[in-house]
Amino acid sequence: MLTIFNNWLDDNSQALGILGAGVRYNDKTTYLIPKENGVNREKMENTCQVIAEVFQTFKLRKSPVPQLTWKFEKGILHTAMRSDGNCLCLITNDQLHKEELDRIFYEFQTLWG
Amino acid sequence: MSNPTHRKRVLFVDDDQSLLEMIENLFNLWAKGSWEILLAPTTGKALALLQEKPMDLIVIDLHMPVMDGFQFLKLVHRKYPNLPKAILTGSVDNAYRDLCLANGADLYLQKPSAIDQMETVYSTLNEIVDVQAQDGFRGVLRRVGLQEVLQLECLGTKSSVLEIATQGSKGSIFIKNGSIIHAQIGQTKGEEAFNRLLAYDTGEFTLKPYTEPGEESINCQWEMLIMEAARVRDEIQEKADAAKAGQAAAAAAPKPPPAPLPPSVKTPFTPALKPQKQPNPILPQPKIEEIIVCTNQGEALYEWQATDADIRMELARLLQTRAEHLGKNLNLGKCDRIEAPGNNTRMVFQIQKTCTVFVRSSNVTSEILLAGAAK
Repeated sequence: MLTIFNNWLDDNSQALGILGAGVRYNDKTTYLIPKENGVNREKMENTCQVIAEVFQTFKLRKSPVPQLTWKFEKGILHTAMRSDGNCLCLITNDQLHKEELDRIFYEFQTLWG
Repeated sequence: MSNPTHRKRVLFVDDDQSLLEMIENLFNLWAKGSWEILLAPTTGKALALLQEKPMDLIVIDLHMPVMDGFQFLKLVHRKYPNLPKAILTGSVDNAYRDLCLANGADLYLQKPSAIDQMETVYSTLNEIVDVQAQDGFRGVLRRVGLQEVLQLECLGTKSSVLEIATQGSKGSIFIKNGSIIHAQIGQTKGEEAFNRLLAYDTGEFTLKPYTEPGEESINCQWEMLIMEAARVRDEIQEKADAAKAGQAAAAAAPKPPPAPLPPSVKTPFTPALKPQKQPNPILPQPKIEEIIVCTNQGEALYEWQATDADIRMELARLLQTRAEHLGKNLNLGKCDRIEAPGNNTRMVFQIQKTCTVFVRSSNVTSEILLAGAAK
């Protein structure tokens, strides 16, 4: 199962505008795609952990959300959590097209595994 | 230029000694040494202090024995017309408030019922004294100050007119019983005018007693208006930054000399491109289901149809702290907005300097989400 996700992330993290990508699985392991001119592995790992905790808190407070978009001054952090607890984090600049982003998140939510 | 070494001298006049002590303690803490706070439990002591030292701001309570705050305000205004004056009172009487604004008060603030809300009062007063430190720019207010005054007016369900003069233009925002009902700058009216007024970096504003506008051009909740204005302002800033970056790149690139045209060839006429306004597709309007405004310490300032305010505020606080951490960790700067789109619904957390605004809306179709993203 993890191989499917890892391969999918490898394929989808190459789009123009992605500064870093990572998946945190429900067993707390991660698969990270750091970028040379973007976000390094350590920061990506920390981001995935923080985001997984945030989604978990929303769920515990009976306000579950499938997606959270964080708009920062210098970039956007797109995050999503599946019903199985697997969590996706994408850090982008404004070069990533909305259609491409929607496709990535749709595929992440529906990816069989 | 501002003089960072100049401590701003602020005089508080109130017969409530315990309140004066609380103000001294809290404001000294928040000002981190940039304020010199003077306290006067009587108007007599206040007058003596005013004669002794020049002040940057005087904050007056209305209900005091012997000479009440209103009479004192008029007296101070006659003697020191250029000294900024604020009223800080427990009175919610609109007529009294209009009278104060018409008689020299720059601001009329209600005494907060909780200590946490005191920080908003401090920030607003600090905007006034901050301006005093900028030589030659008296009365210039930073955008955040204008926004905070608007929030205070709306949260306090006040009625007033904010007159804003900036960059050669003059505009007004009309607030009636805590709702923003009209905005105008030049020929532009409504939300467009409101967004323009809030997008300016500098300007002067005056809070005037309420008068009926000729028309009501805005029919939208103030929280949404302020959020939208913040978004428009960011968009303008982004475009300006991009234009600057483009100009810098163009200036840096070596330019080939233009090839000379043969005498018989005329330069083709190219009409200047006018920015084309995109047609606004008519979309179903999302319905606002819930609004909460809370301080970043988790204290509720305003609730409307809040189903579970405590949980919402806990989540708002969580997002605010995590956003700060992530912004630092990823070197992405400040986070001002977190959106949670769901099935036919959307939650937005707008993080501001001192508070977070939470809005939940329904009837959010994919078209609306796409239109929002395209903006």
